[in-house]
Amino acid sequence: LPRALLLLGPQRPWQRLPRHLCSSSSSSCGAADSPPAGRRCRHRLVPDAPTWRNVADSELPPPTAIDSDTIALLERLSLVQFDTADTVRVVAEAVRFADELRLVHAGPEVEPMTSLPEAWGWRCPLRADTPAEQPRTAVLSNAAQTEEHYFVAPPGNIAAKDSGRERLDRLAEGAKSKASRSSRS
Amino acid sequence: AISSGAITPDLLRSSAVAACRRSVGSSLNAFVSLAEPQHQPPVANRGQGSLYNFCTAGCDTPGLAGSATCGSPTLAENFLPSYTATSIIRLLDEGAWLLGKTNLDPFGMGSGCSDGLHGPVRNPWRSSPCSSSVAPDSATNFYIAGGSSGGSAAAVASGLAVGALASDTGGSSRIPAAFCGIVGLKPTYGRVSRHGLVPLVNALDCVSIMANTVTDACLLLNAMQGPDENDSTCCPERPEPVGWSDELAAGLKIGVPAEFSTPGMSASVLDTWSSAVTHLESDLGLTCLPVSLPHTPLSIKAYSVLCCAEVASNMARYDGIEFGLRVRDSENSVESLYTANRLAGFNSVIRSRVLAGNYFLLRRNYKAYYEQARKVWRLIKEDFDRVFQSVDLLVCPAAITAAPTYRDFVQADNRYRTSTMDLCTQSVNLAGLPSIVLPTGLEEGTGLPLAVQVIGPAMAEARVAALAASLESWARFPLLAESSECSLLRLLD
Repeated sequence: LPRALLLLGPQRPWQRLPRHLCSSSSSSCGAADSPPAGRRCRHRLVPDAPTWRNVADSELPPPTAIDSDTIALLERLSLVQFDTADTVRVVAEAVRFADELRLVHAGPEVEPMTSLPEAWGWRCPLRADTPAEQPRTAVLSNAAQTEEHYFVAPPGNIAAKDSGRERLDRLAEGAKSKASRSSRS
Repeated sequence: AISSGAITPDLLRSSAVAACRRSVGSSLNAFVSLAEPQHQPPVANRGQGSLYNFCTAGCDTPGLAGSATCGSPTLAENFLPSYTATSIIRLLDEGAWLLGKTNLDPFGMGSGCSDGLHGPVRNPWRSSPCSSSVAPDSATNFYIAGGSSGGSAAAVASGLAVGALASDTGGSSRIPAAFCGIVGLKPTYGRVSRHGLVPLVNALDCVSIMANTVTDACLLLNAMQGPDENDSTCCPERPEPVGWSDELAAGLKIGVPAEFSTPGMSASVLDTWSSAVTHLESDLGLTCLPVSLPHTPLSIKAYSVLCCAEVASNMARYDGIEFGLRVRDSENSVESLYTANRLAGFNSVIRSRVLAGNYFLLRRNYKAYYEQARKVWRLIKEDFDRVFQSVDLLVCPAAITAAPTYRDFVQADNRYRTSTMDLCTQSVNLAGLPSIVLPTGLEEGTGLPLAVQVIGPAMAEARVAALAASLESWARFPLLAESSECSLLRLLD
């Protein structure tokens, strides 16, 4: 058994559902647990039913809510706005989907992967640190706004306008109510 | 017709260009822009090169000097790439004729090709469901082409282009290929240079190929593959051109991975998988063995974390200062200007991935999510390594169902869709392996294409292609491009 699964303990978070196994190969199907009447018998190696399922919500660790403080922090770090409660809901669901990873007790002997070339032993050479000529016009050509051959930006030492606690709370609340609505349905 | 001289290559090209011109803005919506004259092969190369008769389309993400929107308002204005992607330069050097850029999901994020700036792409196979109760060609009554490189698939399937480029990070070339009934080839990671490919997930992105036949796909691959001084993550040595003899397919051991029977897989996809394996075993006498990739259920979760984290990093460059969308209102600070530019430029799919990515990368979450995902990534790769010690290739499904209708597809959000549809494709990206998807049958009732996927060990494209070609000649799939009116394939015979 693979390392990660061994360490999960007696309760496997996902269970193999029973596979249909045909006693014969491709032609006739005489096995006791044959597919529903009318369905052709499949190749014995192709499972008729899914061999796994997503872990149920109740089996996952408790969900972490995306609260107002987290919303503010993520917006500041990303310089991207949630804009609507629906986006908060989507992010919360993305986090919930990833929560299944937290059930896997992969010990220190499992080294986190950095890249495939590294795993394959490729050299990944760096270029020599010599400047390459680029015409200034080319470098500036895509900027919406330039001034005397410079890019233009507002001052960087001004904090973003405080978007307001109210807005953050509204987003967090809106996402929570969407989430509880969908879990009840 | 070309070899007999009845049609000259120039006539072929002008018909192709005319057909593409008609198709821009049409309901098919495969092309978003047409190639300018300066993008065509240098005069010295015309009439030479392995791709001389190839009229190809480029997916909107690989950079081509000329416009590129990446399907998003961010780059719809103020962005003309000043250089051309290596993959495209190499195609042009071999004499390929570039027709234009095709539609896609914004920045390659999506499984349906439904969310982009230019609108959704219709699956050319069945433009509307055969249902008498709904008016055909209504705004939502069509089958999707799949994503994110749906435009390329639709262009090739409908015969507008002989081949097309795509990007594949979690299945974005193979899902549309499966839905549209064409061949999709994702090379080994690093086999084709990513220089000029707008990055989504640098660790997983592959320039991929769509064509109507395995042979054509390999011709395109051979023109593009190989080291590139501009892409440090490219393979260090030039691979052999992919070619095969029938003997290569003989004696191969085929693995059937049990975990690829996934939640949500349709009976018709299981039947398709089953007939392919039955053919390989009973008709060709190949040894078919059950194999297990036990960490498969975790793969999509690890992929979701790795993808969002790299997206958060890669999307950071779009601030509107050096290039791209910049809002007109005056904002008094860098932070508020960047935020405003990015709100205007990114749709909610992109924003939610950036925000989720930064959530996973927060100090308090890094170990539990991001580092954990990297560990699972290692376990996924090791699953495949182990399996390829006992078999030579894997045969399994690509898409878990046939193409859904647009109306059904948009009932759930983009995140949900990619988490349920990419089950058989993204683990191949995590392991960096080569894969070919090819159509082998049609679904009863809908008549939509169904496909199988052949996966091989790293750099084993020749072996994968040999088996795919063998399945292709067995399947005798009725290519749509061979039947449609403005078809280039018929002219090439």
